[in-house]
Amino acid sequence: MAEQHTVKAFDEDINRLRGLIAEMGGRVETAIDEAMTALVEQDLKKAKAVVLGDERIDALESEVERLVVQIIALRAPLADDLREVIAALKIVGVVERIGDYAKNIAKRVPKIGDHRTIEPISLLPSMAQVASEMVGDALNAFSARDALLAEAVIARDSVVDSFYNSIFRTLVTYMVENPKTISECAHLLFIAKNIERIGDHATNVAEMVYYAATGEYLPERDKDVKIES
Amino acid sequence: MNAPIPSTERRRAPTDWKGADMQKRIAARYSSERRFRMIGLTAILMSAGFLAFLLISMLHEGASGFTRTELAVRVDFPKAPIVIDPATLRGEGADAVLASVNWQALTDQAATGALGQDGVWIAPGAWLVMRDAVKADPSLLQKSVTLSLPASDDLDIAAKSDGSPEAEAAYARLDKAGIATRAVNWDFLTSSDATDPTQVGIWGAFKGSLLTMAVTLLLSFPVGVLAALYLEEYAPRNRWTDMIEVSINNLAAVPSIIFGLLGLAVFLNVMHLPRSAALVGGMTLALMTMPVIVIAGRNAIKAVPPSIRDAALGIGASPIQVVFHHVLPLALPGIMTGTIIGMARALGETAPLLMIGMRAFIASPPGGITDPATVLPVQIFLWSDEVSKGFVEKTSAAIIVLLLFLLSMNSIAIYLRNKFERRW
Amino acid sequence: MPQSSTPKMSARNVNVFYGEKQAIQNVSIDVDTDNVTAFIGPSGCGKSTFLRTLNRMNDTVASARVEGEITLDGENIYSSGMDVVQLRARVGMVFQKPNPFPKSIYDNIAYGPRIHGLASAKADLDVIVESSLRRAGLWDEVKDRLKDSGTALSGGQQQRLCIGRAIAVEPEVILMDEPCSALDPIATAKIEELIHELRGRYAIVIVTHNMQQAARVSQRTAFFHLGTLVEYGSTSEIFTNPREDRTKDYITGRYG
Repeated sequence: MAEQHTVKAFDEDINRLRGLIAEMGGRVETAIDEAMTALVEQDLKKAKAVVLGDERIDALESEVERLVVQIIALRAPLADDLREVIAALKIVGVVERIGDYAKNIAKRVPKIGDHRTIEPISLLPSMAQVASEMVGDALNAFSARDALLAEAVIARDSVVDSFYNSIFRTLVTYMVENPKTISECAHLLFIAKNIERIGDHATNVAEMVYYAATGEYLPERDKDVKIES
Repeated sequence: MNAPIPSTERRRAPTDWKGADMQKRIAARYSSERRFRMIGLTAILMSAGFLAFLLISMLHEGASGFTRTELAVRVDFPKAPIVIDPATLRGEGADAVLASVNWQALTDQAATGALGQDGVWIAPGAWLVMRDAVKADPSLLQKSVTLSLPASDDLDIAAKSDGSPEAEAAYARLDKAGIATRAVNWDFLTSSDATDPTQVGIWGAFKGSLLTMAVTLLLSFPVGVLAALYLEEYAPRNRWTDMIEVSINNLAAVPSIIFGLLGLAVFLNVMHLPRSAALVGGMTLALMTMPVIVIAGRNAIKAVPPSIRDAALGIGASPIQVVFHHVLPLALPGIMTGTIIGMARALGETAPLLMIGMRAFIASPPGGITDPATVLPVQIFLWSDEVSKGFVEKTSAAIIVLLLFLLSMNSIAIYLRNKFERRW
Repeated sequence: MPQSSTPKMSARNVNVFYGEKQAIQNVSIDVDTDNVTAFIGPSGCGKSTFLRTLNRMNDTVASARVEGEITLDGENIYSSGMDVVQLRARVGMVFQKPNPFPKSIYDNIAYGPRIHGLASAKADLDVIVESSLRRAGLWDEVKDRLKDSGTALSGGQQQRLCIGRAIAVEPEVILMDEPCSALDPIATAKIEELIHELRGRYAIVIVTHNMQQAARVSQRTAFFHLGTLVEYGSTSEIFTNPREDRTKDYITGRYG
């Protein structure tokens, strides 16, 4: 931000808000990555750590909410400040949901057991990688009020959707061929669905960032990829 | 945005608010406050002292001017050589009948008859009292009555202070006999100038002052107020109005004698208005008062808050409505105060009136503004010039009357100001 | 944003000069009856000056000169055929400092109708006074003391009295020059509510330093800066998504 507010305390509040959201974003990204590592490596301790780490994310959410209410009450933000503060309030809710998905993935790790031979597992980390990058980029775009980056995040959602469709089909085929693994595959299917939802939420965040940065709503985009359900 | 605080400033030692130096400074501050209050109080006491001195000395000198010494004289009208039928005094032509009597001789005769050789101490104008008594009550002519006749100037002075040895002796005699008494001299308030100090009165000069002031007020107030209004509300600000403003301010400072000369030259020599008249005096004083009213008026008009003008203009009042509905009523207390100050100055003015001939000896009060008249300050000036000792107390008495006149004018000013003053 | 087909007042390429100094540069703006229009901007930006050109209050300043065209119902108010006294009755004004006349409450309201001859009988005048005070939201507070001086009222009541005084002459436009800057928040809220109620009946233009107030009372907002009209649009747009950076910097408190 080139120009600062005449009231410096306002800038301090806004910076603190951004700092909190950046921290939250970092933690969520880490949670996704760790959950995937735990899944792939069957590291139950790591999975447990992810589940416990979600509490901190929830705490951050309520801290941001408090700060937003305080800024609105005390600073009466307008125009881009107002949009940013409102976006922050909505974004933390979504990011908290993303954190919940990461926790959910971690919780499923023990249930998969040692079935690393299940073929689609190899696709999940790449999918999670894309989704987690989307989350990171969406939050970076928020900090930088970067509408272009936000648009790029939205465009990437179709990649995650394609991953999901491909994993879905593979898993279904696999289950038909190996009925014994149905329970594990079902869990994997849920994990894939969770990652797909993370992508969607990252897209939502990016849309909010776009509005906060430009004041305009993105034109409703057609989904290039139909989601299998 | 804000420059960082320079490092030198940051290193300043904390102020010692309780230190000895600070206490000394505080003490010095308090004592200078006290000193200033004392000086102000002294100034007030001094001015009050001067005023008190003036008032006390005037009252002391002048109070006796409102009294006179009277001698009780027994007059036996039926035996006096008067041949008037009291009945003729009750109808038309009474004055003519009265005029046919030699009152002077009658009074002298009565006084000599009643007081013997002390009859000479009766005032020369005492016959007027006797005549007026008969005029008021014709039935006196059939009785023998005791009349209080004014004593002569010399005896009056002897009664009040130090007179000639003969007069002192006579007064002691008459006082002892219970014939001489002190009474309020109502004639002083109702009669006019005279050559004999026992007969002089202030009414003529007072009425002259009233008439002159009326003319002054009628001329200077409307002209002054309208000029002030025009200059403040309408006139464009340019070199011409600046010049007019400077001229008016200078006019207020011009010595009054010059206005007198102007009046003499213009009103008497060019316009041929009656000399010594209240009209000309009032016109001359109006010239002098007008600048004062213009200046006071402009200040009062300036003091009317512009928000009131905005308010009136904002609902569509025309400029003249703004002026007469709002500005003038609000400025009026100030204008009136200024006017009364100007009038008070005019009331006390002598020099210009001397120039236009208002110093003549006027023995009867003026009937109108074109009649010859004199005014209080000129009357004081004339009496203070008189040789006769009896005029000293009359001068002081006239000054008291003038001061009371001024006082009442100022009271009216304060009353009007308080009555019309509004808060906004 | 509803925009009535014909604006009540419209300004085209208005320039205002004080002597050599140009206070307003090339301002064009439309004002209508359906919307309250707020003028915002930093001190000295010309918003009050421009407001005062709308009822020719600037005429009282000798050095002021207005160029361009300002029309009221299509008639140029600076044309020679326009009577300025009548114009000011049609375009009323409420000032920054409450300025009731030092007369009774009744006379304050009745003054305008009296000088314009709007009421001949005392009864007619009574009706006007009551309805004006009612519309100004002051009737219930002062109906028992109409003979009291207007200056004895509280600041907020005085300002509502001034608004009542302005509407007593049935103006078409009411200009308000920072009407709440001297008032406490409760009195301010009452004035804002009053403005809200008067909307639709009169075209209202309000100059304010308080952006929250502009946001609360107006439907359209104009941002002035250095004598120019930077941005004019719907209030919700201006306050959530201003198009111009100067507007944004001003309303978010980054100005200067």
